[in-house]
Amino acid sequence: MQKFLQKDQLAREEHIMYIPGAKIFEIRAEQGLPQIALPTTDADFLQNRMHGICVGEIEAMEGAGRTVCDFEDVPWEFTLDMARQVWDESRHTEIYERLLRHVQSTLGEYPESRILWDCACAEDPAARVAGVNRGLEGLACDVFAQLIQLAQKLGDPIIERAVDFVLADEITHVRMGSTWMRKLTEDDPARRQMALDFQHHIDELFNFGGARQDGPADQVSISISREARKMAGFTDEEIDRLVKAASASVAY
Amino acid sequence: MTAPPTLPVEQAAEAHAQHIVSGDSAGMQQDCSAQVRQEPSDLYAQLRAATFARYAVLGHARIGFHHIFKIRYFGATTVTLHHRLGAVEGQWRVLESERV
Repeated sequence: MQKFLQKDQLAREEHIMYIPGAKIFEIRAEQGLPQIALPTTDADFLQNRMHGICVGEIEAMEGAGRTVCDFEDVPWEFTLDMARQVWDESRHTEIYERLLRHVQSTLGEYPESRILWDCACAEDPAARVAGVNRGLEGLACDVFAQLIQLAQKLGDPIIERAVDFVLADEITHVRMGSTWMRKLTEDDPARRQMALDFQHHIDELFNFGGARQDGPADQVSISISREARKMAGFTDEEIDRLVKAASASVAY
Repeated sequence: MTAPPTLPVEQAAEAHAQHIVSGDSAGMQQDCSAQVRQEPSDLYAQLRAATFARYAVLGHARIGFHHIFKIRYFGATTVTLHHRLGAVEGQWRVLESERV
């Protein structure tokens, strides 16, 4: 089986459109819109956000699946954890596909950027779990905690509870990623540093030039959730580092 | 602020596809925004030179207020394009087309 698939090799139904993230940002900028949809600027914020998460869950499922296939020289328990994650992500995909319908949207209403897939292609398994499980699943903690707060504000218990259910899984994925990143690099500090550097690169990428902030859920594109991140095992120092890096990101 | 177009955007996209299939250069041009008309891409020159028997709309997505249509043109050669449409002075206009 071919290993390390490129993003144009992902199987999709014909109606799903792939448009690179940079191009989407460019088109939004042309209309005077921020890179990432904001609750205050985008009337379809909820649909847009839900769609982004749904395709993200598909890519996360594919990413974990590729990790099962791409690496043979890893402990069997690592492969088993990744296989379990595929199961979780496939369940999340179903949940978000139904949530999309709940907000009167459908898969394909927005393009897919495949930014997440790009991050799931590190050639070292330690870097991959650092980038995906700690970087991307950490982002999921922020995005889902924000969505729960917005759902509470809207009085929508379906979104609130469904997303809370998924968030619980994401917290375990971060913890699992932290465990494996440490185990896979325990006698190799240089390799651990490379894995952490890769995670920081992912964190920076998903700060979206200042869109992720330590701010109120209904006013910023992505609000950093200290509470969810702490439950996921991030230290105060790591969260402070992210907040600092996010605020230092070039604003759009 | 100009009034939004009265024609559904799906109809505007299909009209453009029909102009491409029928080789109607004037129609093709008319569908496009002034900027696209002034700086026509090589793609439109290639489309004018090609012969298509039919088209199929495969997808329709939104980015902000713009609409992207994924349309496949079948003929001696088959091509798939993304056409991006936006409202310009009360009309849907093709702002960009690219081969995918």
